[in-house]
Amino acid sequence: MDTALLLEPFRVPYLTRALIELTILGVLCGTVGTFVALRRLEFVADALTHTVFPGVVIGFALRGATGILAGALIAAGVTACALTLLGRHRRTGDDTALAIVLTAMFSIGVLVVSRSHSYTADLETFLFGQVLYTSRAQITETAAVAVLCLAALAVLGREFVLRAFDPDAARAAGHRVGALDLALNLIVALTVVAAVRTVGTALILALLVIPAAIGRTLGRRPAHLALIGSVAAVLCGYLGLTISYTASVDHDLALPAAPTVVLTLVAVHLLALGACGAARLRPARFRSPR
Amino acid sequence: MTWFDTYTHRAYAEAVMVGLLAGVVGVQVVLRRLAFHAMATTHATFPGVVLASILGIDIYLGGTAFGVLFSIAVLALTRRPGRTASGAIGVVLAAGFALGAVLVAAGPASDRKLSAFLVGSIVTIDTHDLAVTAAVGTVILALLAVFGRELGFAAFDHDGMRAAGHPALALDLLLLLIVQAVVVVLTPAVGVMLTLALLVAPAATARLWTDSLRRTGVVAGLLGAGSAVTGLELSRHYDVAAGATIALVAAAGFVVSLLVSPRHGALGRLLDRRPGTATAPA
Amino acid sequence: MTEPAPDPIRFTDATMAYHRAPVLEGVDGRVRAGEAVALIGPNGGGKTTLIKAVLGLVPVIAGTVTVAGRRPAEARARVGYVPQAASLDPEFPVTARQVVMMGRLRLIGRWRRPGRQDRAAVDEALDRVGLADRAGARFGTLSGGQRQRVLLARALSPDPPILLLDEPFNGVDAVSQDALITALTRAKSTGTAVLVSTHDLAPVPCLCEQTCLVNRRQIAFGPTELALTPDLLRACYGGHVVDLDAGRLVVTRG
Repeated sequence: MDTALLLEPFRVPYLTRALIELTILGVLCGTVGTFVALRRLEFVADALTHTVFPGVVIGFALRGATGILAGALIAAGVTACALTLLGRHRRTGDDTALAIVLTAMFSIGVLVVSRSHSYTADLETFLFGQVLYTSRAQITETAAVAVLCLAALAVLGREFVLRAFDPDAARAAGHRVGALDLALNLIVALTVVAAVRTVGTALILALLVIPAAIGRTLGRRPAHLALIGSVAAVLCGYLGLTISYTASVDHDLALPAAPTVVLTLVAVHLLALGACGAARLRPARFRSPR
Repeated sequence: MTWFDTYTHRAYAEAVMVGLLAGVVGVQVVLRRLAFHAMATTHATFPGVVLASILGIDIYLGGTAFGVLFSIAVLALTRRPGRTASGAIGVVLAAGFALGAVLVAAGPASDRKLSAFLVGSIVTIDTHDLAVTAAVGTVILALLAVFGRELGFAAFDHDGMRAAGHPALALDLLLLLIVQAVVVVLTPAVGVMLTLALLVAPAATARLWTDSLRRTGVVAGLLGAGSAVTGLELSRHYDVAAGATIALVAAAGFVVSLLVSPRHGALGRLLDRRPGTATAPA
Repeated sequence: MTEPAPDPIRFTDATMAYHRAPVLEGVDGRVRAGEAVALIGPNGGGKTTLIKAVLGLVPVIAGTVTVAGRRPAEARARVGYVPQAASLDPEFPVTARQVVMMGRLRLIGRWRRPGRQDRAAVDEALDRVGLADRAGARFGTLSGGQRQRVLLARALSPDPPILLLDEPFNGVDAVSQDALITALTRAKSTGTAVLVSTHDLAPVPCLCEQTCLVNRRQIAFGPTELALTPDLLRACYGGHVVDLDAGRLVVTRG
């Protein structure tokens, strides 16, 4: 790829907007994802991505594109309540409750979409988002959500880490663990809502999980994990967008933008794992055998 | 002209088998807390199915191959220090789904749409699908009949089972393979969401109604088949997506049981709060 | 001339490890048939590791552990293991009788249903822990002590020559503790070897001929009256002050 191609996203206006959106989301998801990984909330995050879907669909059906954000917010709130209530039931495990809420909410979304005429096309728009149709207003909204979430993390981050590492100690130190859990769940829910229009329901989980995994491979401290994750997410957003654009325009290969970004993240993760493995193998040769 | 020539008949036959199979296997999924694992398996087999349909080979073969790759990837990622199983599962789930989405978009116009993978289309089942479901279902139920007691022991007390000299690794592998087989067989036919819903909701509902492992399996199987048939009926009546309706019926069964089941429902517990009926200390 | 039967459990300067990092070092001693050994030490001191090593679930990286003269993993059929009841899901759908039947699963095999002999053995095992009347109750509805007794019955039901118990007296009421001790004493009288870890020192003198003190390494392994001394206990529990007050272990921060 020559340099002209790498600069392409900055020349085409809609690509520039997509890039700005992906950069904001990269920083947001890379940071929030670190806490998702520390608290092992991967399944909760996955459930939230799916339960926001009916909100998006119903919001769109009632108010058009402007209704999506409100619908997503309401659905995220409903999920948080449902999960809290079900999680208290002794006989039903957390993951079982999550799976039931996830499939039920998602099915409601599918039911609503299935009433429309352009069933399949609509469904896929909602599922995979439309990176390339990012509007100015959308960037403003995403930025607002990102500032809110990152500010909350800056204030509560250390408590989240303590709670993730040792809940008993957190409780003993006077932190309200239940409130902390609710706060983190809400932050994840907001992140999902912010990302849903751009990368779609199906791929948000990738943005939350893979940058954090890259961070976990290369970094040690929570702050480093968040930094590495964010940088990786932003970088891969840029690379993925460029690859997808180049492939579609120059090579007539229809690579959808959001999945390409995710696959770029996967590739970087594999590279990081390989580099880390190689770095660990080398000193092993000089170690005396047991 | 046979009974299976009508597509509605085929749909009902598939619904009954799928509900029964997923309900029974779901008891193990619920007791061993494998819901997220099952979810990830569905997404990770997705690129295999797409690739197989692009290459023109059997989609069950493609799904199986990627299912095995998935298990190896999760195992490899989990073995690294500091990695959690759920983190590894999350990464593989997201990666598998993105790969599948790219393949769908980049490949030639394939008849397997993305939405069909996610929400399935139980009404377009053909006799080949029916035969595969029936065959795999029979094998799995037979395996559960033979190994069920040991799998129950493993779910209750894994260390105790290992200590008693049972082949723990082989039994764990067997269970994961059974879940994978259910996913590979059901997902192309009925979609990811319905597979997961039927694996989890009927079994969770059954647990609210009975305290015996064997009865839990029977009740879950019946509930699964019942939800599937009811959902199909409702979806035909109101002309909405079949898979989603079935999943919602299964979930509704769970919510209703949560309210009214005698010992574990909200109403049951209200009645139980009378003095003198305190439960045993934990 | 016949060879004397090998000791049920024998440790020879054994070191156990997780991920190659030694967790417990220098364990040396034997558990004889018809005898009980108490395993005592602070949390994280290696009690559970030692028990898992005897089960062949934790690797021994130096020295040896033999069970009935064999490597631990090969002798599991001869060992009955009693986990902590608190570690099990109280909502699991099984009755007390079904839990005990799990202990006989290996004898029954995959292709046979439990027969009259198996049911009789299960009833007898439940009777030995004094819970014959609760056989049909769901495991989770029993009290903590009763659950512990059910798990002992499960270990007893195939009649193994060796019993391993992980903290069976933890959070157990007096009635259940008595029942556990009675059942263990009876098992000893028929030649069963017992290794039991415990925080509570009260049952040790009457139940256990020998005591093994561990904290990352073996502190003492010998006759209970010689091993259960304030000095050795203090050595075992590190800088904490230990008072022996009517057989109760009192650990205070000091």
